Amino acid sequence: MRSEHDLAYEQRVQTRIRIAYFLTLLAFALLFLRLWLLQLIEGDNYRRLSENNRIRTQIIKSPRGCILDTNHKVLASNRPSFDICLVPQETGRAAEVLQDLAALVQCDVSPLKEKVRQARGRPPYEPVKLLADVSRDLLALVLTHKLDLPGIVVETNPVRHYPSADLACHLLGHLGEISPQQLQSPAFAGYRPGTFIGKSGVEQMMEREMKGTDGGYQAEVDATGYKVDIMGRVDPVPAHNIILTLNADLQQAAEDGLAGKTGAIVAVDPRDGRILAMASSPRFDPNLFSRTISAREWGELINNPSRPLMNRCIQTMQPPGSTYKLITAAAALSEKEITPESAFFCSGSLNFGARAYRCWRKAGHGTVALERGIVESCDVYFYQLGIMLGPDRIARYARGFGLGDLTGIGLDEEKRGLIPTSDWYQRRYGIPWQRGESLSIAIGQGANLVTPLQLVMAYASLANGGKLYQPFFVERVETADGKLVNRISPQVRGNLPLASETIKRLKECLFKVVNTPSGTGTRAQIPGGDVCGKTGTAQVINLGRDSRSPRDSHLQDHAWFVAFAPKDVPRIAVVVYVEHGGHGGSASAPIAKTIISRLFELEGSGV
Amino acid sequence: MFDRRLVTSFDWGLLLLALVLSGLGIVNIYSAGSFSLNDSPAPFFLKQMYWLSISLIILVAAVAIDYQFIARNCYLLHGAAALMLIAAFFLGGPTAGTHRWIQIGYFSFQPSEFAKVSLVIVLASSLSGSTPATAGLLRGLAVPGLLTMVTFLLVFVQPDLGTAGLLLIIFISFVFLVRLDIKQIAVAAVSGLVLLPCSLFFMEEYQKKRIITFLNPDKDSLRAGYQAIQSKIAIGSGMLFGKGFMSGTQSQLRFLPVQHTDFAFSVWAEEWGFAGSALLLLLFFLLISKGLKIATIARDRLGSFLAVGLVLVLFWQVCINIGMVCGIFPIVGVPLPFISYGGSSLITNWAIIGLLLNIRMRRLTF
Repeated sequence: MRSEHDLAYEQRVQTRIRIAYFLTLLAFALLFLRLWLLQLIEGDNYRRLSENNRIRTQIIKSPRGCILDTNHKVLASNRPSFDICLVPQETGRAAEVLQDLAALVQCDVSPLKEKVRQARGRPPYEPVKLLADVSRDLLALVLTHKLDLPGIVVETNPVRHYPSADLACHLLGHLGEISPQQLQSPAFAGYRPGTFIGKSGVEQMMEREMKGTDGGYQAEVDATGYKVDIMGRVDPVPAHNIILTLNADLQQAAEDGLAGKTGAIVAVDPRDGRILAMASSPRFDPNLFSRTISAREWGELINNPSRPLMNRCIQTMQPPGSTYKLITAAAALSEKEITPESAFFCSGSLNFGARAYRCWRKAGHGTVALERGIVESCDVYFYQLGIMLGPDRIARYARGFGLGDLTGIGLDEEKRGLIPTSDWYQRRYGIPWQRGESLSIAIGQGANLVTPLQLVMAYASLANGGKLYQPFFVERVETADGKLVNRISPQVRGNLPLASETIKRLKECLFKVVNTPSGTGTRAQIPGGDVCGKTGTAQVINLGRDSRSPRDSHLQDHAWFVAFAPKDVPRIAVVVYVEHGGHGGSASAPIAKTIISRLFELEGSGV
Repeated sequence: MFDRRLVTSFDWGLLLLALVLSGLGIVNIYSAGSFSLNDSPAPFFLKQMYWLSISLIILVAAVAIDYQFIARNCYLLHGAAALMLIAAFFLGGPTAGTHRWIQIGYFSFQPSEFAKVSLVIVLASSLSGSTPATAGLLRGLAVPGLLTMVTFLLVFVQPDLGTAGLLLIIFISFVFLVRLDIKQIAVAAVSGLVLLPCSLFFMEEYQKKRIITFLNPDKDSLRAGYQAIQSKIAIGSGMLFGKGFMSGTQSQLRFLPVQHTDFAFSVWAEEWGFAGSALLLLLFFLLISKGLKIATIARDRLGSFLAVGLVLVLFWQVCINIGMVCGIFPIVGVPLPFISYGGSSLITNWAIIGLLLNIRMRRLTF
């Protein structure tokens, strides 16, 4: 029998079930709205996320462009490097695998662990490079044990390779890993961390052309990162090759000439300013920089007192010595201070002010006019011209020859040199020009500073009859399959401020420097080669002291010789600079001779 | 004698709904499990079809035996379920440090699934045996509360936080619905809010972590939050019409964890889109409202209470599962009825359908 309690209770339950029905409706409405939000309102976003999940972009690297010499001899190319990497997500026991790997290849495990530790936070499917550029033996060892080393993979990456090791290393330059600052800069937009970029020389200057465009493909992967399917592929665009004006054979001759010495040689074609050889000694092996250079190797290069990384052709600044007499003579003739016949007497020294300025020949040259002044390099003759001209007029002609200014070769590391003027002197020392300085600069000592490249360009402009060219070393840019992209045309910087008569006469004098028995440059003589040139000696210690006796090679003078040949239509101009080499005539002229004969030989053989 | 009214009162619609849901579940498991080359020789959908046939036998039993007879033997039934929960500690090899399974030959089953139904039968039987007025509040709740606590603890120590919590939430909602008056509900709600933070103290580290992860899933996207994020991506990326059958990239490429069981809805929503997930919601809603309808028209208080309890089991599982896969509830191991793969779960849900049909069918017999 039902009691009143029962009836009341049952009625309440009936009401409650209706409430439950509405609560259910409410709960389902909530779920419905949630699905509406996820699938309809935010659906696009989640669709994109699901695509990101399954699609992974892999990079296909575009190898760096090659550098070739004018005869298409390869100077810089790429070789495969085998790198042992660890894919963190493909190993459940990284520490153990690293231990096994270290035991296998017999190396210390802690640097490997450090590399894995540093890579934390990167996507787990990205390989972490453990051992870069391993030998083939080591590679074989690791590959045979691959099954015992889960997560260890071998990556093949292109690495810069210089087949001739240090040949023309300064001009070619070297690579280095892109710096964090560079990565931030808009000039390096699109570069990825770890990329090796040109840090000097051609490598740096032609970075854009040689970089190429990386390709890639999109792979569909599953949750463990395994490729399921390849979806799309963009092939890499191969980089451009750079063909230099450089002749590797002549370069070799220049480097042989500097063997065991410290110095620089630049050979150019005076007809358009192309660089035929550019050697600086001592050299380095740019292959060291193609991978991450070790601290020890870097220390050896940086702490070497001979500074092998320095490109002396464009970075060393020295007084031009007697090679500068060409400029003084050109100024005096053009300014009509002298005629070729104007003569001065050389007694072995000249008293000026309170000092005696000596000629290199203590016995003196007697009565000297222009031709003997240059051929025998009489200092007193040029002291006289210096007194007449003063610094500013000499400087004007020096600038006309392109000295004291960048040659425009396009290398960042090029130095400007220095041509002193009275204004400069006032600024530099706070006192007016000291007249005695005019004597020093007239013979190329004192404050004058030139680079070997500047000097050879100056002589080349005289050699070609008065056109000052901008030196260049990139002949053309080609695509990987040899199509021309860009050909570099010679640029004229200016014309010498000299009458053609003067040019002709000065060339004649330079011819006699080499080709008369009393000339200072006779050691550069090539029978039938019509070599013209000028010796020079940059004094390491001051004129006032005795510079002739020291045996210590560090106190020896720097030897210059600048030449061009043949006299009438020269095909080569060359400067030889030997640091602490002694006299230009004895130390540098013979080297210039071998280079010029080598060029003639190469031309003769039709190469 | 056979009563003709049993046939006329049979709710064919409810049976059809359950069959449709089971069918969709198998279709979905076929897609979700299509990768399974190394997991098991028999694909999941085939196994699920096998479980469905067993479920239909259970259904016949659950329909045929008068629910009053079942209720009279409810302590026996629930005692058996409790024994199985204890047996799981000794019989089942622990899977990943848990004791949720009993392995018998080729098949294994989860006693906690059966405990859900047996507990509901015990609760319905106990609560319908008195009224609040005759039994008083505490005396009336003592037996059901104690039984729930014991069952809760047995499941909690397995440990299976999801199922244990489900038992608790079923008990609480059951008592709220059929026992307490408005004033008592208010008092209970307030004290509950106070006690809730204290429960954190008893939770294990991974359980706390799950709750923290739920509050901030992006914080730890490769570990605990991974499941929640991948599931949301799967559901959301389905958009309006989905990516198509067997074309869900999240599921086919296995970005979804345990996709054929707890995350089966995500697979469905990714492949069939909003249209599909709304359809599934509608089917569940119809199922639950049919269950509630049965509760209102049952022949006696026992039938009514039993129907309410059974509906609560379905309701909470649906809400918690869909809630967790779409990111409005923490990830706890609660399957979606009929859709998730799992024999114990399917059999249990079909037993619930059977009992509901049973109550409905006997509404006019005395």
